[in-house]
Amino acid sequence: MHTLFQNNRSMFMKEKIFVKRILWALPVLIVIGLLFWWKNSSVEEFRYTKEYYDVFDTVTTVTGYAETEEIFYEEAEQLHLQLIKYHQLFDIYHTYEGLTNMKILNEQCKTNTVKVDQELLDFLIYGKKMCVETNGETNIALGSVLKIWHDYREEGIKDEVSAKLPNKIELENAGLHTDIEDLIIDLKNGEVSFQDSQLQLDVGGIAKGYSVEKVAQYGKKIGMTNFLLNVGGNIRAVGTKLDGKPWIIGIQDPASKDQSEYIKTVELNEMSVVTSGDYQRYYVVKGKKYCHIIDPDDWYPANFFSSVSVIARDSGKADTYSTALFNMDYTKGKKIVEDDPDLEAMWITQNGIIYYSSGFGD
Amino acid sequence: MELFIIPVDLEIKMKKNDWVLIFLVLFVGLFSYGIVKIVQIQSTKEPQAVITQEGKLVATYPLWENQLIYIPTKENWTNCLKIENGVIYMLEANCPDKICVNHKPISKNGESIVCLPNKVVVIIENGIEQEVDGGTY
Repeated sequence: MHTLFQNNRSMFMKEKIFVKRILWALPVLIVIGLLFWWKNSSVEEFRYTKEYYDVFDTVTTVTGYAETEEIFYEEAEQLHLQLIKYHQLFDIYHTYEGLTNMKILNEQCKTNTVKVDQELLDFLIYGKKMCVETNGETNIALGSVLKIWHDYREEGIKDEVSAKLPNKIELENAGLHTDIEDLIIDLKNGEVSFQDSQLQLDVGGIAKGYSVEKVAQYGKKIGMTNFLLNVGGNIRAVGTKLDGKPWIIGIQDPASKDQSEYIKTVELNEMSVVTSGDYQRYYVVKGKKYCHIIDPDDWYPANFFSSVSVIARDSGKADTYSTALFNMDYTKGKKIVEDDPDLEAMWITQNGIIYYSSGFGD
Repeated sequence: MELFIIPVDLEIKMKKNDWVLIFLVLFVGLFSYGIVKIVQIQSTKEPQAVITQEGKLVATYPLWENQLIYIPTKENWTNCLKIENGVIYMLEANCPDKICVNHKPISKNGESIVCLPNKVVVIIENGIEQEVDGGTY
């Protein structure tokens, strides 16, 4: 009996120790649980913004989310490098060593057939397609006319007093050499030539939008999910903000000299918005403003509107149509927009009257 | 064959020290979690304007101190900024387009004034958040 009692007592002690151990384990488990909870909540993403000033002659802003600033800057830099690539490819004023770009094409295609990379080939096909689609209102072959206006504008900005308009004959002659069909693209051999030796390409109306779309797609490919790419006001929202809310974008008030005075805000979720305005690039002749967007119908700056803003999913399309709609009257433009479910637009006339397409801002 | 007598008294007597230890472990765990959370929360800093030229930092100025700022130097400046009433704006610049001069005064987080010809950039840090994420122009 004595030994039994002793056995029981030792067992009793063991049970006590066992329960005690459980009681010990509880706070330890709680602490471990808290640590896991903390670890999960610290895989939090913060919002960052990076600016670049060296592409497309304008300010570029990338806004997105990442765990750290370093990670975000690395991702943004990849987008930046892509933008540099397109900036150089579409530059009609400078050449870059080893690169067959737009300036080279303008110099050589009149006499030769020039071999080009797939990237440039794709763009030229796109440009030709957009010209046809917009009935010539957005025409990348308008270079010979645009060059005349560019030269007069530069002179007029330098010396406002003696600013002049190009003469009509000059413009009409140049206008004879703006047929997109004279841009010959040989897909099979990857070659480009001009059937008209006076043809010149100027891609200002669609290059930014096209590049922004390409770079946005690239960003998605490298794993960026929610970001905003803004190249000189050409905006592409990828996804929503991290909290699921849409990106809020202001549209500049044409009447204000201040770029950040907004006349309307729109909410974007996986969408692009581009504005064409007469206040972006212009010069003044005898008190009247002449902007940089030239109407292919009469070779003079279009003055139907102070600005046209277009919303479309694809940034290249938004850029193309903001130029096209800027070059035509409201009735014509409205029909085009209403017939295309992918397009929404906002027109602001010279008198400040605003028209919206039926789905604008939805 | 052994007979087991189950003790009637199963009450576990927790000594005071046991409780002290348990709560100590709990406390340390919660305390360290709290510290981590506080460190994560950004410390409240004052709004300031960060000025760069050609990508290089020129200086930062708190928005609470009214003053004139000459870039790059007072003797030989291309851009002149003014801070007053908690905002900063471009007072004068020698660039042809004057976009920077026409820009309204800025004070909100991330707002910027850019003089592209002179490569001068002014950005606000630690300001209150803007209403928009971007703008077309």
